[in-house]
Amino acid sequence: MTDMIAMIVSSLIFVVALTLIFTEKMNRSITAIAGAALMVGFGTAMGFYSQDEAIAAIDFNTLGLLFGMMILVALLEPTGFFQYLAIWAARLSKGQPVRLMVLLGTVTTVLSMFLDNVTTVVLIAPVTVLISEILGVNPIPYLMAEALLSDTGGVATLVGDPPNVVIASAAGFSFNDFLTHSFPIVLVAWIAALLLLRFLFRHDLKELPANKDAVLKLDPNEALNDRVTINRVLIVLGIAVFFFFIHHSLHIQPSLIALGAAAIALVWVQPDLHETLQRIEWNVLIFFGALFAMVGGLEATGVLHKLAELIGGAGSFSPVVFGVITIWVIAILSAIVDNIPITIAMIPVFADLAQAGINVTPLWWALAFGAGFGGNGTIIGSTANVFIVSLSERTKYPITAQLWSKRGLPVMIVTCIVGSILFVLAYPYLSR
Amino acid sequence: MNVKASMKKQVVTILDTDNLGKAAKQFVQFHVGMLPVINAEGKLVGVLQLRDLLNLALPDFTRLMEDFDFVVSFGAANSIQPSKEQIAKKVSDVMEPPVFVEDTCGLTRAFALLHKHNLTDLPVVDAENCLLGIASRVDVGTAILKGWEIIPSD
Repeated sequence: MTDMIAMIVSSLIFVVALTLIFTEKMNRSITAIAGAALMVGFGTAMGFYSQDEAIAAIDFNTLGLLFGMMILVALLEPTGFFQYLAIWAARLSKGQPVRLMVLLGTVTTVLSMFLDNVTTVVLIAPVTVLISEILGVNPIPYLMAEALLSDTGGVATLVGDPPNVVIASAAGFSFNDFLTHSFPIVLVAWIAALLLLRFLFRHDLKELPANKDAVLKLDPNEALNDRVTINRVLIVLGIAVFFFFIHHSLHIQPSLIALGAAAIALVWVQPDLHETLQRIEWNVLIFFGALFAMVGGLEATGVLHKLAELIGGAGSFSPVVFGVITIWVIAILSAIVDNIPITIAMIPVFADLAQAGINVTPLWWALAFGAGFGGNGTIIGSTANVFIVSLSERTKYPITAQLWSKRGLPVMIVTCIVGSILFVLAYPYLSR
Repeated sequence: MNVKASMKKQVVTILDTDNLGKAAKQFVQFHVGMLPVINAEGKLVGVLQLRDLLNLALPDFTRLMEDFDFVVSFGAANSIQPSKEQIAKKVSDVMEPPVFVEDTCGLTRAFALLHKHNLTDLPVVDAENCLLGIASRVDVGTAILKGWEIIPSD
């Protein structure tokens, strides 16, 4: 009986927190902190969850990797490197709209495969508005392409998207596992997304820029204001990526590489630490930490175990169909709530399924695809989307939820379809 | 000496119910940088700065980017015009809350306020909040300098 009450209390805390995040009634990090505190509070009082268990539930691998990468980005942010790349892309496009969309989308995607994609979008989007205004065109196609393509592309690598970090840590996937399993599928989905965007925005992209030459007058080199720091951080980042490739055979965690790289970069650059730390996305780290602690309570009361039993009991599905269902259910949940809590909550469920003898390896990939592609569906589906929309509201061309459902939602659907088809075709390979 | 003695008494104002198009005309016609906004009873309810109007036609990126010094040519951004809807907006929707002083205010306080809020003009009102005049940074500043005994008087 007490078990039942504990399950109800912990579920209630989690569902209310998800609802608050979904309805945006409260900042998501504040919600997570309050939820975690309630979970530990009730857990201690009712004896189902202790403070020590809560701390043990926090995946410091995930936090360490995110924190290390955030420091590298924070060092790169003020140097003008991101502006340099965006302006370089604009010049290369010669002011041709389709080419500009492809180039800006590609630059943002490639950056966000290795760096935090929110930061990438935060830094590239203002330059995109600059380029559009100089050209005299509507910035919306470019801004949305950046958000949607970087969300999609981020799924390809272990460090590209926060849910991947969580999944890799839980499933024991290496950086190379992502390159060999996720990357090829994501590449196809990414190209599909790009072609779809080209089609959806065909009318806007037909509009020829009033002032093509002005873009050619932009000098990317002028945007760089600290070449020494750029060189140093890029060298450290290159070394970090090299170690990511071999971390599995060295038996070290990616978080150690990221934190080690951050330490080396800090020592080498010796920045104004106060300024660097201000650029760290503390609320993301806190959101993660608090969610782990909150979901830990859900796990402790056995709610997630029940969920796993329920899923395992639905044995009439073939594993392939079950994987496809996972992609879509997670995608829809990620679009309407937030892919981070969903991913974190699914981890113990999958771990339970694995203990029951089910091969969950393909399901982890399905989870990554669903969480990543689902974020494209709504303006609140991913942090990058939220940022792009709020930035656009400060310009003459605000992006509305309606517009997003006409341009972003189709991208989610198409990427999920492509992801599902390839998942089915590659199922035997993804099971290894 | 107080601010009343240094202020200009002839002041161009605008009503809170007027639209921005009318305000733009006033700025051009009287060549001023700030318009005190009054209501039908002549009470000061806000100020409209020249920059509030100019912001309507400023490229968006200038607000979004920390550093755009490297942009030499603004291209199409040179010819941004405000929209009809923007110009039709009421002054009361765009105006800033007024930083003002009563006519009995001392010069040093007036200057300190101008300095703190980074303003060039300060509306001066009576006890009933009715606009009496405007004291500019130059008006207040030179009035203070006049009081400096250390400066030779010839």
